[in-house]
Amino acid sequence: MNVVDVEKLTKVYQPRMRKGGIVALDEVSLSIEQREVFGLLGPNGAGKTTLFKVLLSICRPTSGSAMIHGLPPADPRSRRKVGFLPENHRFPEHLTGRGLIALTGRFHGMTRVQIEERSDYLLDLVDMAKWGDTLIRKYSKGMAQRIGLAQAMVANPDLLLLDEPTDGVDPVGKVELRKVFQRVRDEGKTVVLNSHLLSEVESVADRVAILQRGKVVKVGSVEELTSRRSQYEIEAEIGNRLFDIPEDIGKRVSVSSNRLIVELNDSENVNWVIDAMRAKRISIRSVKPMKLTLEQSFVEAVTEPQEKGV
Amino acid sequence: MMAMVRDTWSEFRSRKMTILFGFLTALAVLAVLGSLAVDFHIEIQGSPDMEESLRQLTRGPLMQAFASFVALLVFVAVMSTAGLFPRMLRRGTADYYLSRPVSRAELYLHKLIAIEVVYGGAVVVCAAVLYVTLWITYGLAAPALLWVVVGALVSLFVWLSFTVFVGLMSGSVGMTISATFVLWIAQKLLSGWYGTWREGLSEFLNSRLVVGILDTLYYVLPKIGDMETVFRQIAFADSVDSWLPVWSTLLFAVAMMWLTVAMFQRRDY
Repeated sequence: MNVVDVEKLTKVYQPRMRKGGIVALDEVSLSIEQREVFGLLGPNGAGKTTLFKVLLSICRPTSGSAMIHGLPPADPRSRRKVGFLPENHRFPEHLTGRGLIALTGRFHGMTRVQIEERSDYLLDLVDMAKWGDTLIRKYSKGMAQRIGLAQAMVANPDLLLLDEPTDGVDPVGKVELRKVFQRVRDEGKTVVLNSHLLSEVESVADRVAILQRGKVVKVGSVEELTSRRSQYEIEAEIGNRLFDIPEDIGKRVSVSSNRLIVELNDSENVNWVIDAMRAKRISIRSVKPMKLTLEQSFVEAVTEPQEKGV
Repeated sequence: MMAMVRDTWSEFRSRKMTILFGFLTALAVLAVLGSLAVDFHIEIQGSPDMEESLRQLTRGPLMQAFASFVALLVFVAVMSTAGLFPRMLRRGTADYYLSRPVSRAELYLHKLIAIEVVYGGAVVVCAAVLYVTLWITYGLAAPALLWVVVGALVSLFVWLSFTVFVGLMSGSVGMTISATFVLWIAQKLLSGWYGTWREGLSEFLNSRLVVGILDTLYYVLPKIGDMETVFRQIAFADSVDSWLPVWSTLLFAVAMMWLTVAMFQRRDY
């Protein structure tokens, strides 16, 4: 069974005293499997946070369905095994870090002994053991973020929903947190990561969905989203020995004295290009399929629909 | 449930409420102790039984003073809890509470009960300290005063049902405190209208519509002051004039709670 199943989910915010609505989610369909780190990407206002809020029943869907562990969000049992780190959180400021972890544990029905054991482990994990008894209102942004991650993990959840988890965390901390996500994934948990830091998502996510204006415009593994199967980069001593590529094979994208980029109609056609180059006595050093960075893929995904619209 | 009680207790301590309640109680205790230094000269003529009559003479004002102190504590508790729910549901904090594995109705009821337990508990402790002081200094032994405390807890509950509703609807601490203050004054005025001024003012107003509106407001709005009076009448062994203020006020609280749950469940955060 999928951990998260979303089917044609639509959320329209109805502003008070005004006609019309703001479409935050527009028939979003997604499935998130167990044991995967799933990245949600999208520009500001794409609907990433709204998707989390609907999944957690913080706001209600306008239409469509969402399920966590096979239960609808309106059923509180669906949240028993879910940990959540909200974006721009303001945790109760009257609590200490340890107090927040304990409160979360109590909400999830944990005993005092369980909470104490878990608190010590989690404070160590997020490197906040020294500050556990300090009031949250005295924390820096990065410290609050770390303690937020600890409270999200207190009930040993099967699903972690993290909204901008490394926001405000220093670079060393970010690396440590990435290790935490991977460790959680290795323990068989599912992590859904909502972040605008593409490199961060690229480095930890198994699959990614790109949202744009409330719609899913791309979904797949990082490998799928970043590979450009039809383009190849060939490093060779070309010099001025140019040759034509027939239209049924592909086309030349760019060429210099030592590099050729071709876009082929079929990946098999790369052999034709190699043969043609060998026939021209061009010495080939390497042939590589071209890869996009996730950032390039993201920019393509979020600009294409707009351009088409224009 | 215990999660909310502990959370509210932490909030109570963090907001230095212990100091506020402790300070008010200390003032009341000092006032009682200070009153011992006042030299009363009352000449008694007659039999030695008059001493008992003298004891009865001081008993009434002492019990009234106790009841007034408890009413002050309730006022402080209501005003200091008015902002708790809006603060809990402000942007960023609401996400935390609403994503817990409890329904919104449970979250609301647990918070309401937690406030009642913590702040009501503070009222009970402070009242107990004053009662013990009065007992030691003046020998005031009046277990019936417990009814005054019960009345205070009931009125705190009614106030909470209202402040939480306004807090949820407006999301503003200031608005909640203002609305509470307006209701406080309105119910006092309406109580005066219904109990004392109705006959005279009806003739002066000469409008059946206005009289009808004022009567309706009296019946619809909570009659917390009058309800406290009923509990005082029980405590002072007086006959109860009417039970209407008690049951109609409790009905108002139940309606507020129902409305709050209905609205809370429909809200997006």
